[in-house]
Amino acid sequence: MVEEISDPIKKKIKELTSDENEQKFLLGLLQKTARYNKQTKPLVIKKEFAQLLDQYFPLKEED
Amino acid sequence: MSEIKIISVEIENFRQYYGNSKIDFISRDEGFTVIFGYNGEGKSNFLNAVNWCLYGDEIHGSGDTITDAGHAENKTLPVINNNCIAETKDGTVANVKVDVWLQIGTTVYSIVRTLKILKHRIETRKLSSGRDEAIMVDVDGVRVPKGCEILETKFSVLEKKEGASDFSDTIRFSAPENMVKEILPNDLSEYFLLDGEFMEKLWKSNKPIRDGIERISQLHLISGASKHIQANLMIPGKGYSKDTNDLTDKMRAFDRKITSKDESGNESFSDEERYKVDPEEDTVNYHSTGEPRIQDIDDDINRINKRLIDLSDEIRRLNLSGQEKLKEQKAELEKKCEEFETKYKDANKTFLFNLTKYGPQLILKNAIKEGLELIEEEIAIGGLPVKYKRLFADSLLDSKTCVCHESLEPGDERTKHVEKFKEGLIGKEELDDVALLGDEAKRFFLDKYDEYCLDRFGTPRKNVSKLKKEYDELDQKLAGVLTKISSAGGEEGETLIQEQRDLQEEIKKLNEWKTDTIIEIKDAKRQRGDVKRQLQKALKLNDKAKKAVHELKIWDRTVILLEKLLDSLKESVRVNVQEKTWENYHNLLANPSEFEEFSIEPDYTVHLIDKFGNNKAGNLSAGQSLLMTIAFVAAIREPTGYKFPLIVDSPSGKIDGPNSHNIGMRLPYFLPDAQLTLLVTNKEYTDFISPVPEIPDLPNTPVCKLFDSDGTCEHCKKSFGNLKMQHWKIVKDRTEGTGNSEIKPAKLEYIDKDESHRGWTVIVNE
Repeated sequence: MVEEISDPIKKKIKELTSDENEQKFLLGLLQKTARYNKQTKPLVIKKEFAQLLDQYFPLKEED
Repeated sequence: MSEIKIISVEIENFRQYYGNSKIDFISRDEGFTVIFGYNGEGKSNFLNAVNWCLYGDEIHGSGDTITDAGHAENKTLPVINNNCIAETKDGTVANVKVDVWLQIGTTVYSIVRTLKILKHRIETRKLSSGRDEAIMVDVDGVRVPKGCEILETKFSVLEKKEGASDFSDTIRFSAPENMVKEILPNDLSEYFLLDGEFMEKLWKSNKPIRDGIERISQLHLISGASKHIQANLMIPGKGYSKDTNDLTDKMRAFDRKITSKDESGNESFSDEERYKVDPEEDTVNYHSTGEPRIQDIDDDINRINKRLIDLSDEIRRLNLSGQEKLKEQKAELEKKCEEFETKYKDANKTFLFNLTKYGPQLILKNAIKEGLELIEEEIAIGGLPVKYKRLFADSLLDSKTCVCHESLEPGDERTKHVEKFKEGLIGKEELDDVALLGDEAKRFFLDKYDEYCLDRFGTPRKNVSKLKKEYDELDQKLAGVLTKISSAGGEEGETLIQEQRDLQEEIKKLNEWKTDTIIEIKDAKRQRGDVKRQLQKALKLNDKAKKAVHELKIWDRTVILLEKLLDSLKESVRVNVQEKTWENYHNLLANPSEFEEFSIEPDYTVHLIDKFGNNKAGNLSAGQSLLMTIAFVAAIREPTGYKFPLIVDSPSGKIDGPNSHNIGMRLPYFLPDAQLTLLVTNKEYTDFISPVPEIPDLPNTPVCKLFDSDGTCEHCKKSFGNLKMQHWKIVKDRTEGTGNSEIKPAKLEYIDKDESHRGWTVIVNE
């Protein structure tokens, strides 16, 4: 189970950006953050965040 | 968000719970779960059992009644039940287990924590009462009798999906702590396992207010994600060109300044020591630079402010107790003064009386002396007393014989002579009184002249002077006390006032440091921004850095979005919680006019203004704080939609009659979507509400009946709860001392034995 992000946050994200990809990306980042604690190593965070970015915003040829 | 419900709690041999006790909870739409117990029977340890099961620690009840042994009762008990360990044979194993079943949506979780304890020979010590007591030791933070060994600690989370016949221990829960963290995070436990101590202290600082609002509304996830990105992802790796490498190094240097790190990535500290509340605290230094330094300064300002509130309390208490003592002294002195004034006045009256009555005698001393001499001469020649002369004449006439032995026949010349002598004495009897007076004057005045003067004048005069002196001394003391009353506090008060002044100076200094640090950070960020732009330019020109440029662009936008998200939510949640808390507090409070205004500032400082314009937030009474906390906890749930269950220990333990009535009337309508469990004593639940002189018509209906009655209260015109309660009772065998509580299904019943045993109580179901 992944911590559920509250409805007010989800609603606010939708108000902030209409890009669904961006909405999912932001939610993914918050859900990842919910699992971290003081012992979580920065390298793990860096890797997991980078994976999320690759998942939602991969570098395309035209970029 | 799905509602989180507690389905059951099963406790086995945990602290005073002996054997197995299982409590089933009802959901909010069914009513309240009520666990009834008298003081010392295990209410706080019920909260601890749940806390220990979920998080492995026990935080409740540290402020409990101190026992003869000098410990809070909760903390003197071993984690394993005393009876259980006594019954366990040496060399065998006993179990402590708590199993909490939670439901989220349609999925049920069983969270189980077990301790296997191997018993060897228990070491004891002899108490002064002659009783043997097991010596307790802490093994890895767990309190067990000396001679016990912890064989195994097991923690698991099992899951049962809708439709499944049984629980499954899946690989997903290989880290069950994380699982629990996701369901009911430990740092929020204080807000759903509410104990009296927490409720009393919540308003003493703004940290629990900030934590409550930010964590429950998940604002910390937004700021956390933003920080992670800025710390780990917003500087590209090296290796594209020398220029980009140099610019990357520069950016990292600014980041180190902003985050107070050294070149090796370790935290960097200054030489300045941080504020210590207790001089025994370990010395910690302020971070050198950046945001961690600001955080240190803010924390210290917060701690100093908290200390200032405590100091104000201490000074006020000292003044009050000093004033009370002085007032007692004043009353005592006034009484003594009055007493001595009467005594002195009486003595003075006696002296003046003596002076008037006996004074002339002193003036006439010589005349009296001369008079006496005359009387004595008369007595010496037989002229006095007259009484004796008449007796002498009578005896001659009776015996008919003269002093010359001639006969005294009636009619004789000699007889006529004696009769004439006798007649000559008539009218001279007063002279005998003079003789008597003279005798008295001689014996009591002239012969004892000094003694006479001392008794009548000397001693009364001394007495007057002594009493006057004592009265004057008392009067002076009274005047001193009256002066002191206006400036009570004494030396101790002076020391505290000095500390108060020093701390105010310290805050001033810290605020100056904070301003300097903010300017430094702003400057570093501005320079970092310049470098960043140069780096982005350089990277764009480099074909190899395409991916890095792409990622930086995304992260830049993401951080901006997260900051916007945080800003807008933070403001709306804070304002919402502020308004809702105030509304809830008014609903709960019997006397809402007590406070005029309530606000939670952007830095989470709370202002609760009374009618005199004073901020009372840090100085609330236990009852006020408790009501405010219930109002706050209810408020933070609403804008966040986080539906966690609440277990409240002693919800109206320290609340007066009118507010108990309000709690009883309002709580059933409060938190309509929260599963609510109350841990209550007879005093706050079944006892009749005590009347107060200000509200003579306040009904004495106990809280339990305000919850479950139907209809409308004639006093406050509000609807009763009409609520179902599922009762459980903590049953303790008091004959055996600590260590034998059980929780059993129970019901509310009215008993009517006699005048002193009449009313509602909770009894175990037959």
